[in-house]
Amino acid sequence: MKQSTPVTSPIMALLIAGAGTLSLTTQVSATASAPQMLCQSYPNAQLCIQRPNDCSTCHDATPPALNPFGTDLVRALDGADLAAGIADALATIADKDSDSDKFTNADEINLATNPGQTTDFPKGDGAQVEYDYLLAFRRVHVVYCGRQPSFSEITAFDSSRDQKAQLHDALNSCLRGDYWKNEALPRLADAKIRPILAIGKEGNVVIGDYKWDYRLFSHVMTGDRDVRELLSATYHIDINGNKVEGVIAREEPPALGTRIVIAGGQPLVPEKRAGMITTQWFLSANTMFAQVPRNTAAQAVRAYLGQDLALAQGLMPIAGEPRDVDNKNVAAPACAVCHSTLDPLAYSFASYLGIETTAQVILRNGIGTYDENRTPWGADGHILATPVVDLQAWVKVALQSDLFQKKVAGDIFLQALDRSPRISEMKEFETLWASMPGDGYSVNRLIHRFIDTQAFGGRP
Amino acid sequence: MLTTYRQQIFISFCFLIASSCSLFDGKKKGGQSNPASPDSAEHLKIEDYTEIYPFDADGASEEGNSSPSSLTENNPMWKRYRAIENDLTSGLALTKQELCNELGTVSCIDSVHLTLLGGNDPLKGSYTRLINPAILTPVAIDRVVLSACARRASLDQQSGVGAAIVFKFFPLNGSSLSDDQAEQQAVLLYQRLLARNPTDSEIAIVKGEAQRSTNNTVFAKSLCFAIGSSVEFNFL
Repeated sequence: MKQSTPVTSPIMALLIAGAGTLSLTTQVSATASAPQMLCQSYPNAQLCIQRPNDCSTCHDATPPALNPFGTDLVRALDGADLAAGIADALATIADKDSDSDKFTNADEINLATNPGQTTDFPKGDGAQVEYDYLLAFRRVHVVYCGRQPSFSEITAFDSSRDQKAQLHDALNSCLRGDYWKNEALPRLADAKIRPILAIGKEGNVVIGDYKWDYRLFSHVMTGDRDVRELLSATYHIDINGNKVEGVIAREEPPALGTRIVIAGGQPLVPEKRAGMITTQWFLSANTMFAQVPRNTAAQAVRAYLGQDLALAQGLMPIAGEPRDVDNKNVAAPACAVCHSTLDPLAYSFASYLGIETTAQVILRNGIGTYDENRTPWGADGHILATPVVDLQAWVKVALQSDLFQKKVAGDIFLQALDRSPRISEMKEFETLWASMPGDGYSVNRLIHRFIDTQAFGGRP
Repeated sequence: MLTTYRQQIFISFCFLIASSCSLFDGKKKGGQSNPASPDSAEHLKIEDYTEIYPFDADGASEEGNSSPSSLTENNPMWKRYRAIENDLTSGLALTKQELCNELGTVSCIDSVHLTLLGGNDPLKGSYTRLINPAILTPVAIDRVVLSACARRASLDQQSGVGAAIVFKFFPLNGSSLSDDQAEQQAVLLYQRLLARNPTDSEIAIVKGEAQRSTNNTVFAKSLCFAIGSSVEFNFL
């Protein structure tokens, strides 16, 4: 049943009480850590396995506003400190149906649906499915070749004695094809690269060339390459598909006339590169004029770790943060909920130049280059609650996390099926992403495993 | 116009619920029909729409559909724009340029209806694609498929029966055709567009429509459109 009585969260309660800054920071951190606290009570719940840092379990889209489950939880706390009282409070409301969707809170947490959202509840998707090679054969062609198999191909497949081998042969052929490399993969990269025509290489104000980004993405995602190079590559791919090491000169000279050209090529020195997240385009389009590149960090985490901080995902507050180093008032309680995670994430990007319009930067093609003196906080970064001294260390932690593997596997799953794994498919999805280290982090091998899943080839 | 609107809504439901609404799947459609909207005609005349209507109006009763590619109702996959384009060009032996073009110049698939057909253009600020078909997706599909079928019929009519590529089993300028001719045409279209043979019940429906037809060109376009706009062609 929805609550009509306004109930304040611990954050708001402290605000109302007029608590001091130190207390506020402590309470904010405790609330942002609530997902981990919840998962200590439900260590094996699918919610904790699939989205362990999701604030939406208790909050509406914009914390600190609470959803019905959060409201019930705060009531059950009855004024107790969150960290001390959450286990008892969760037990108290375990059998309650806070969002009135006919499933108890405990059931929803265990089955990875939101106990505070009426529209999100366990669906009856546990239907038995049987793997259908012909269906998988058709799907492989449509998803990875961009066409259905012909009648003669179907006929040959139907009469094959080893349909599994033929299925994987077909996939191999598709993954080497033009459609996968030059159309399907670029579309998968769109939301990561986020090109803008007007300020790209063909635009009237050129701040970078996103075609380098697309080429690098497609290169890493094909040919049995190590997908971790998305974040660790120190090379680029030229228009002919060749690997290019070293600094890449701008293609056209600077111009400040009707058409403004202040960037081009890939000017960053290789030892400071981190694949897709240090291309000139990524740094210029995301950092722009910021001293603390919050957008850059948030986009990197969103695109490659699957955590959208704007949706309160992946919050791991760092004690003492945000320090508000650039005086943007991010230490205000409502801001600090996210910025206690975001700002430390962003520090590691702060030594990379965004758009800077001094003559010196423009003339030497400085956008996207490295300058350790750009800010004093470049070595103060944290990612996944781990301190890192620079972006290379940041990337190392990211690549060692399950989140990176889950994101890659999740992208492949979503690209093919237009949905996330269902509860009944979670086990094979976990097997899928967990297989990546043993497969040399090859996306091709990941896809070969994927097409063998019931999710891909199962017919009810 | 009211009928046309109602028919479009029906088509929309077919796609949205992702169940087998194939015009030849033998299941009763509640008397609704499946024509295209008037503005989707690039090569059709207005009488084509009334000719298309009977195809879907009274499908024969049949339990189930044993076709090898019957839809995975709990797990459908939308074919989307490029596969639709490639399957139409290969199935109807057309070039990409011979498919639907707005005002004869702008590709319906790559530009005009790209979003509705499941694509996205990042350079127009669209970084993600539709997860599910939109309410107007069936209209876009109808336009593209109808245009392709009409173009093929036009090309084959110019070529004549001896040189025609797809509609080659009866003279397109004729007013009647035999059961055998209708069956041969149905088999070829099913193979080219759905990569399978039609079932017996599907052939029976085609023959029934052939007997009622008084215009071979309209019959050819209608048969092609019915198969190409089916759920089976657009989903896996």
